[in-house]
Amino acid sequence: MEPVWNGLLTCDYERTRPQATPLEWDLYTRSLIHWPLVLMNDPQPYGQLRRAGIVDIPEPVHQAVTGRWHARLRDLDYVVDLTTQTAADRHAVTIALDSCDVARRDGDLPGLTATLETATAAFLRVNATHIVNWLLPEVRWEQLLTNLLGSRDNALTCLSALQLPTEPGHILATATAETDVASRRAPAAARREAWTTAVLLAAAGNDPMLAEVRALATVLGWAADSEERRKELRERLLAAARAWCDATDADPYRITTKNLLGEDRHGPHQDDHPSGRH
Amino acid sequence: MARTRTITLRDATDRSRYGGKATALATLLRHGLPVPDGLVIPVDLPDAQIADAVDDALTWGAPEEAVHGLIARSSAPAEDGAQASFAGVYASRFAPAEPEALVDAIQHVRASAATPAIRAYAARRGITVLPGVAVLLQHAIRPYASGVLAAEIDHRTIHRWTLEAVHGLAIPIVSGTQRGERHHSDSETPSPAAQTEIILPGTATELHQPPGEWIALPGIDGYPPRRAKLQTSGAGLLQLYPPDTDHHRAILTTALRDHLVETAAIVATVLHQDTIDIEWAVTPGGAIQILQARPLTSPIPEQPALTHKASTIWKGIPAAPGRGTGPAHHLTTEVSQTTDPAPDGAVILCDNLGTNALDALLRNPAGIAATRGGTLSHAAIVAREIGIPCATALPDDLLTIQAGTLITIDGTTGTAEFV
Repeated sequence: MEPVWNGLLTCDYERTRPQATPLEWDLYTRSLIHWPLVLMNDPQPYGQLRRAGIVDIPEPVHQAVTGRWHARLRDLDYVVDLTTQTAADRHAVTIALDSCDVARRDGDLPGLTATLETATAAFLRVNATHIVNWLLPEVRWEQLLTNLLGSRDNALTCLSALQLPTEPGHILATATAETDVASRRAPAAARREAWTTAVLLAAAGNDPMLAEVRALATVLGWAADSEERRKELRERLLAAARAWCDATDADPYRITTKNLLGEDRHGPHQDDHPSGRH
Repeated sequence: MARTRTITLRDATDRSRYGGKATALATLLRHGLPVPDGLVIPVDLPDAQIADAVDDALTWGAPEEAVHGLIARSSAPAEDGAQASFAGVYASRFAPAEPEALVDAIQHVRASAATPAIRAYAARRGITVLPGVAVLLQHAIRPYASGVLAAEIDHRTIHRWTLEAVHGLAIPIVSGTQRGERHHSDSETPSPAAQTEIILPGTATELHQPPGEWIALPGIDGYPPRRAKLQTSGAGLLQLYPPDTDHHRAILTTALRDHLVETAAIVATVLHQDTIDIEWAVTPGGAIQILQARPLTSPIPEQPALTHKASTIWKGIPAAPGRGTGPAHHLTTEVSQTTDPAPDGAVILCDNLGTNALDALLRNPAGIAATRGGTLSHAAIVAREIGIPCATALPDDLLTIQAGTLITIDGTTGTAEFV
């Protein structure tokens, strides 16, 4: 996110992901604009597309939408629904990508096209969670935990311990069996449990605060899970899109989500004209 | 048209009315040295006549010369003297070529003469300061590079000098917020810049463009054209992200550096000084412009032995708690790029981490220092998973550290520092 300029916030993936293809930018910008709908069923778009890779968000829209989300993140019922729904979204992408793999192996182009459309639509929902990188109420949480745990250092250490994915992150997930990832992660998992217990005990006796702390602990784990699993699904989707381009002679450096979602099946092809991105 | 409120820079000879900066530059102009011409508002101009002085400035010169706006610069009688430079104590302000903005800029500069900092600085230097400040108005130039140069001269021969350069305006080095490319008479090899922001005066059109738009950077012959992304803008200035290519290329050629040093010697001779401190700019055509010249008020420092000072502490985001020390080991996310295996107990320096980092991570690194990401970046998450201290969002400058240098990472405070 760029600094606020004349009441406008800008999210510039063209700058932060300069090597990305238009498809990758499109996946980010579409899911950014629709994150309020995906994550809290709020129809207000989060800004508007300036051009491929860049979204402008009026500051009042940012304040209003994030304000509503932050309020909901204090509600444990909402947080449980959020984690359940996003896990279901990830599962839907996984199923669709598995079907893509089958269609690709079978040389079934109509099947690949259809399953890739499903996977792309489902992934746009999953990708909406990438806003956890900068839109979580970290300042509020830090203050809350500082009050509960007695120091800012304790608060930061606790926040850090709670941001642990349930399963090994995508880097450790590539380790071979001999590495024994589980035992290497065991101390971190124990730290997370210890800090969760500590902060729940600190909040005990104050029901609203206890509920907020439970919600906070759940959201932090969910955010770490979302980031690690989203990364794996994104790589798989992009690989499936490249396979579809190979099969249809489309240019992987020029296609967008429109081509994959069936909104424009006659997308840019390899021999239309050089893209210059090869 | 006769002007009664302002005087052209060339004619500014009375230091008590037009200040030290303007009269020194006027002397250089009259000797044919490359100084951007301008107008000077005298110290004693009543506030009520500022609007008229602005009219002078906006009708002076060719309209295309004001395409990047104007700069209002302080020129106090005591400024740029032999005993005291008042560097950074009085204000300067850029403004678009619009009456209201220029009036604001001039008033801001004039108001800076009444700040407590002036009195405190003068008292420390043991000098008396007269009230008021003249204002030098010049068309803003949009330089390829600019900076400062300090030199000691004896019989027209330079003995020692030091020079610091950045792309665009020199504001980042004059304000001390960034490190420029440093050249020193004791070494043929400059230390590279750590520039995180390029500042340029903008055109009216550019100043209305939102962050993310591309701005063509001023270049010089022999270098390919460059462009940069707009970070933000305001008060007549554009703040740009330096292009990635700038990290790998020297700002000044040897010829340009030598030309600057020779120019400094001429400036010193004209001003009858045996030490000189100049602010300079190089325009897209490769021409040098002198923006300020004054005697040095402190000795030229020794050449820095290290690119990074031993006391340097880089501040980032705390990402995984703990503290670890080890030799620096660079790791890239480019899977295709092969690097030497990380030694056990190393501090991994990276922008972020990819799956190719697994081997290094399993060698019990002492810490991870990443220049990108936050608390949920992949580097941060994997660091927490296996209990390695980690700081993210550290300055890119960190990636220039020589491999093997002992570094301490504090993942609780989010810092990296030399041992």
